[in-house]
Amino acid sequence: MEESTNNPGIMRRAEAAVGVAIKVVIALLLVGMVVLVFMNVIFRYFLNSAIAWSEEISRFMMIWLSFLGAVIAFTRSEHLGLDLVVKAVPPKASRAITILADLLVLFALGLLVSGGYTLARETLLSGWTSPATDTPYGLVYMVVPFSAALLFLQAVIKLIEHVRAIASSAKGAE
Amino acid sequence: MLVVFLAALFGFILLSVPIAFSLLLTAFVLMMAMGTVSLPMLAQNMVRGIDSFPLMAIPFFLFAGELMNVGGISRRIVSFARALIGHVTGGLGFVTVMASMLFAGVSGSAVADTSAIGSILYPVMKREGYDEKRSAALFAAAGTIGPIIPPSIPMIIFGVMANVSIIKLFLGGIIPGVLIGIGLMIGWFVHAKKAGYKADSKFSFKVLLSAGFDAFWAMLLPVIILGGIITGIYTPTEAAVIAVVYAFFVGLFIYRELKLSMLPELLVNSAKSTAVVMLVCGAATAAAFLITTAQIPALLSGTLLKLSGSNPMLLMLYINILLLLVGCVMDLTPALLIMGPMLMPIILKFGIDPVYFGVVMIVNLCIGLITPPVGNILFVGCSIAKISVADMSKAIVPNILIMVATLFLITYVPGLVTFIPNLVGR
Repeated sequence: MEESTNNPGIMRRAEAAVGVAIKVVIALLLVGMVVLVFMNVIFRYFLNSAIAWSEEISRFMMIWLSFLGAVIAFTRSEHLGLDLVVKAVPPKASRAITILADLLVLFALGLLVSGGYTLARETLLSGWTSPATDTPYGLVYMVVPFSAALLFLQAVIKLIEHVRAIASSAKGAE
Repeated sequence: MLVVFLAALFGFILLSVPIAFSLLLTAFVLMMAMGTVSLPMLAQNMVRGIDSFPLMAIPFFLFAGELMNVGGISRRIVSFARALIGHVTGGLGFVTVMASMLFAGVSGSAVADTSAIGSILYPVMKREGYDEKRSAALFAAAGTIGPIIPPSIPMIIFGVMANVSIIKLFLGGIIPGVLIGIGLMIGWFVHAKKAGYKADSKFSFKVLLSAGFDAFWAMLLPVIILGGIITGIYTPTEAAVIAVVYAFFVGLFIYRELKLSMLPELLVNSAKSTAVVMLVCGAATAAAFLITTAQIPALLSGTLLKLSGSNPMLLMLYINILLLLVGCVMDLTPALLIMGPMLMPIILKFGIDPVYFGVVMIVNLCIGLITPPVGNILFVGCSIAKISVADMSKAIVPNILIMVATLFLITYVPGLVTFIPNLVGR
């Protein structure tokens, strides 16, 4: 979808730049998880001493990987969904539904940005830390508002593109 | 409340809102209906749904699958199956099913299974003059065995969600997976006789031996994964990480088909696939919390109780029909995460074995992967074989019937599921 125009807008270029940074981070997170969990297996079975912090840190890494990865999947429209109705109805209705769906996604992400931010801030202030590594849970939760905000921006870009497509097709029909 | 919930959830999904966001919106609607809106709680429950060590097996198995495909492990599994069974009439069809079953022993996802086997064998079947639509329908159906024979990503999700032993679920999937494989082979045999296909190659013990030797490192992997899990040496998550490291070293140093320059793309792909699953997991956990608070399982179980009296066999019939219908339009993971928390309380109330139920539910929803109009594997199959969804939908009907027959067989002969888990059971 994103390669449909030869001259991507500035928003799309910014999205691509942020995308590269996120890809590097999620790739490193996955490597980190593999190394930590595998090392723990080796330590436990061959050296008889488990690394207590390995499980905790790798779990936190997976939380970050999941939310950041969701941003990459959104760019390529790979999130699981059902386009049965959109494909079955006439083009006009289909466009209207697409815009409505875009708005609903924006609303859901707004909930997540707001809820995630409050959660992360309050948890950070409460000083609640994880048992094995003393990692502040607020930092773990911070990925929620951060990713949700990036997703929100992407959803805005998508909405603008969909509205533009309708506007240009309406112009073409005149 | 049940009506509000169903209307909201299916309303959002039908409007093409991605399922993870539909679940979040539904959770929000339920909060509004109950008059207790707390957005931080919504976010926290979402994180809670992802924060789990057993679930970490998912990124590892996905990554291991990517490594096996580019590292030459998948190709050697196919060659081995070909040397083993390619010599019978319509041999490549049997090779497809056999290879899918073997691959299911190292991979936990139907997409990985279907794309690995289909992309290698479909071009060969086409070249041999096999019916294109039937061949595509065969490798797609066989690909759904991926999450039935262990390891299995849906079983990990079900185990975490329903608090059931993942190991027992894995073991419970073995016989059903093999039965589906046999069923598909019988179906193909009938088709191959009618169409008058010839054998793929003459049987040669020498070829089998060299293919077997070449595939040795590949075939050792299911032994390592399942052997370690069954004997309790390591957990499914640890088995998954061992599979990653093993596939990495075999691909890099033994088969020498994996290049380090391929790693970044494989890592990003696996991380992205993980995120897609996890986002639904998180959102479903946030919604499940409210589903339970709103007493929706009780409402649903009331309805099912009225329909089935207190007959568990009748209850399973209704549940199977319900899940088959859900599977027609919904993907495996979301269907599992949405229907699971609603059905589990009823299952426990009826005293039905949760391991048996989990396996039946996953086999059922795996059929949903190939049932039109919406089926993830149906679409993957179409894109590999480059045929239309309409053609594929028609050609795949016999395979769907075979799988449904197997589903009812394991539903009404529970021993087929529970025999192996009880054998090992601790």
